[in-house]
Amino acid sequence: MRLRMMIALLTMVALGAACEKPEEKKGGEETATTEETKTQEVKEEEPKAKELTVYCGRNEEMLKPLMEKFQKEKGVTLKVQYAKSAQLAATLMEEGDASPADIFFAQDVSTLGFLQKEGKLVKLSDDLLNKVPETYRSKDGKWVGISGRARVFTYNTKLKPEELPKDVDALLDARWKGKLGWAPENASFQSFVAAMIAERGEEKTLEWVKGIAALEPKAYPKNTPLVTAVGRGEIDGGLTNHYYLFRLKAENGDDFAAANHYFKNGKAESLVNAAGVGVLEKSKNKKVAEELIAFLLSEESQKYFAEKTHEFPMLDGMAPADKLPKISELAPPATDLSTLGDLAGAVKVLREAGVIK
Amino acid sequence: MRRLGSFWWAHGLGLLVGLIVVSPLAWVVLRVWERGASEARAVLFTLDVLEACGWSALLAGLVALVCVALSVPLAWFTHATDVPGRAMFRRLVALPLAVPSFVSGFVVVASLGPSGPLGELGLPEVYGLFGALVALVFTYPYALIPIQAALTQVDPRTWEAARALGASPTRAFYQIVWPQIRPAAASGAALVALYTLGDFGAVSLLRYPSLSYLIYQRYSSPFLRHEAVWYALALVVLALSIVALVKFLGRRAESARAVGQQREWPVIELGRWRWPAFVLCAMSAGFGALLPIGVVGWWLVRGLMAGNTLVNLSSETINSLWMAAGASILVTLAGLAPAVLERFGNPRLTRIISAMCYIGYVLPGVVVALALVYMGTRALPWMYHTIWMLQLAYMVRFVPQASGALTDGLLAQNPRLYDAARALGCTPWGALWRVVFPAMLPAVAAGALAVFLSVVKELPATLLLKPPGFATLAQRIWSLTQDAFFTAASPTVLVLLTLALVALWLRPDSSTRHDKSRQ
Repeated sequence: MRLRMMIALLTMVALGAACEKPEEKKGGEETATTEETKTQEVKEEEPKAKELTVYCGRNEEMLKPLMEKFQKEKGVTLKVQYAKSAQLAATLMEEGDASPADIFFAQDVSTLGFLQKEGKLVKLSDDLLNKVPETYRSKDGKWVGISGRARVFTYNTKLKPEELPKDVDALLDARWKGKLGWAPENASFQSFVAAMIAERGEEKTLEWVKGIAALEPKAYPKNTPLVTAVGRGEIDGGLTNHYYLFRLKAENGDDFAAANHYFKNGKAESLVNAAGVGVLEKSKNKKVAEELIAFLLSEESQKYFAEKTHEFPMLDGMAPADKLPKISELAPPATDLSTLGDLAGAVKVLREAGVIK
Repeated sequence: MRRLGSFWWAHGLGLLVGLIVVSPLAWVVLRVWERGASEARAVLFTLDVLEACGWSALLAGLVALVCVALSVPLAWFTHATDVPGRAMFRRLVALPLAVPSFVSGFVVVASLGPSGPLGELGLPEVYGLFGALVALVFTYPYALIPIQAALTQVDPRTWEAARALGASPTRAFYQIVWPQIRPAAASGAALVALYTLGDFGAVSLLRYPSLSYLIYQRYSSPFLRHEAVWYALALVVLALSIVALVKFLGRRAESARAVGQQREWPVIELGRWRWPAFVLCAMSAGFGALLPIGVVGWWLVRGLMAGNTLVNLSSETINSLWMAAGASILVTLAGLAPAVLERFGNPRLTRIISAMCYIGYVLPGVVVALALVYMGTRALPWMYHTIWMLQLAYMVRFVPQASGALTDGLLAQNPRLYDAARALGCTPWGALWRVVFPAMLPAVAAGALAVFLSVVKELPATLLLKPPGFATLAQRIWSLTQDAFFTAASPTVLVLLTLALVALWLRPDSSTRHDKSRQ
């Protein structure tokens, strides 16, 4: 009976909407009134509170404590949209000039490079840029790295030290047949391929990719399952980023049987990518946005990145945690990170080799 | 106006709903237009895309087939047989609906992968067709629930008459019951197939090279996103052909039914099939619900032992709950108009509107989201980054679920019911309100429930359209599993499953309702 009354009520509402026909308008009025009250609230608060909309491609779990701290210390209300970097970049493109975003925090430089190319980013002040080594910031000053993430060979600890490859060409050996893992769709893997193209050209890179593909490596959708498979001994090792190991050790306990091998050879496989930020051209809060960047590059935040996300701090002379090598010891290739912005070349090679669709 | 008769309002409303639902497609067409026809040749007419279409169709077909083949016996066994624990299974077998595909994907990898507990069984490679199929079979309740609802509308006297005339149970089921639930089975199959076509959670976690996977991949690199809209267009074409096929297969069977006085079904004895039926029910519920709980529980125990901490989930839970509750009302209301049209509307216009409604359902969430981003920032800036934008996205994506369930309920009714009400002096609207709608309550509940659960699980549109800082359970699960925070993710999954379980439990059970009203 109660249900019957409910449905009667619901249909009445439907009828009402049907009679008034321009239903959208009606909904619009409703929302407009709530919106009005909202803007009133903002107006009242405006003298006190500054607001900043952050599009964040980095993980919420890792970033939230930092964001909350900034909010508290600076009295700025942060509105953070967490999602995948590439999808947030696509969102920015669709929003166009109407975008509410002030600042973009990307997982890796390829998305920042893309936005820079599209003219979405504004030049940052030199004070901020100069805090970070030249390698890890945009040549045009449109973005700056916040933390570093190194490419490594993560291997199962049953492997002996002398078995570890000295470079990626050593992985072409038949010894690795069926024993390797990779995540060819992953943006950081593609950045590595882009670095390889910059280093040895498209043709030789294609040759290498085809050579590895011939060894029937196991392809994973992402780095997490790849590193998990290494720890479980399903494969001997794989090309990935360095920090997944720490997360999976934290989840699985210290007996998780995997370790990182840093190539440190000045070639593409030693690439250090950066998670970084850029301020949007259309932002009306550029000052506050730069405050956030300064906060992220402060010694305290950098220490947080080193300890909590196990990344390489960007601040000159600051040591990483977890007995990681210093960022200066990683011997990354001379490739300019900005040029890795365009992964189209890497995608082309990987498609040509039939590795990705 | 006169040609549309007294249901002109339903045509207007249905058209409005249809237009809202297809609006993302307009954006796709706009984007494609910008790129020009020459790109179509380069992007669209390649072997890769053809292949991906084939993979998509194969997966959608297989998943739909398996789901219907599983749902029909499950619905029947839990409807009126002597299978042990029937009343409990009625609800339990719908439980896998609670598992989002981005969770079932994980569960499949964790349990069927080489070092998983079931990995020793010599199963096929988990990455690829096999894994994607298993992960998507979790959606079988999309087929089961409409079939269950349709079964409650079947008059038991038809069954009894068939049995009394000497038909075997199998024959009575096939000749009497099956024709009456076939439309529901067909629309259930369509929902499952369309869900499969548009799903990216399972295919991306299991690297199945379908069209939706390609779309997902293209959106993972900002400079390839123009290719994605072409693929989205191909997906829509594929989806519409599936809808057409299902409409063809599900042509309504005419059958005489007396709805006026519902009788209780007799308990049908399964004989030696009693325990096999029990095993089927137990395995569906167990595999669908207990396996995720087991995997996630294992993450929790393992992680807590390794010293990980948990997070507070109260605001996420509340947000998910009321977003889903709001959407289930709004979307079911919106679905009413297309459903009424299926029965009373101008056939040609109705076909167009119902096809329009399916389009939103099949467009991948990320495409819907970006289309609404584009339109929202331009046409509805006051709505952008508010929960209303999300509600709009849910309407676009889930109206067919509601209208499908409502349509099935409506078409299962004896058509003479409405005519009788009219003959007795009711206005068309009065007849709807006093006779037709009350009789389709189980269908309304089924539709609202399906929407509720879909919204709780929805991810791609929620991620991009939610107000910044607004967290839901699905979004948290995604962000936690993204970087391997499995310990913290597990309670979130458990809360989501609990929420779904409670919703499934609250589902009005039409058979018990009839019992009570008779007393």
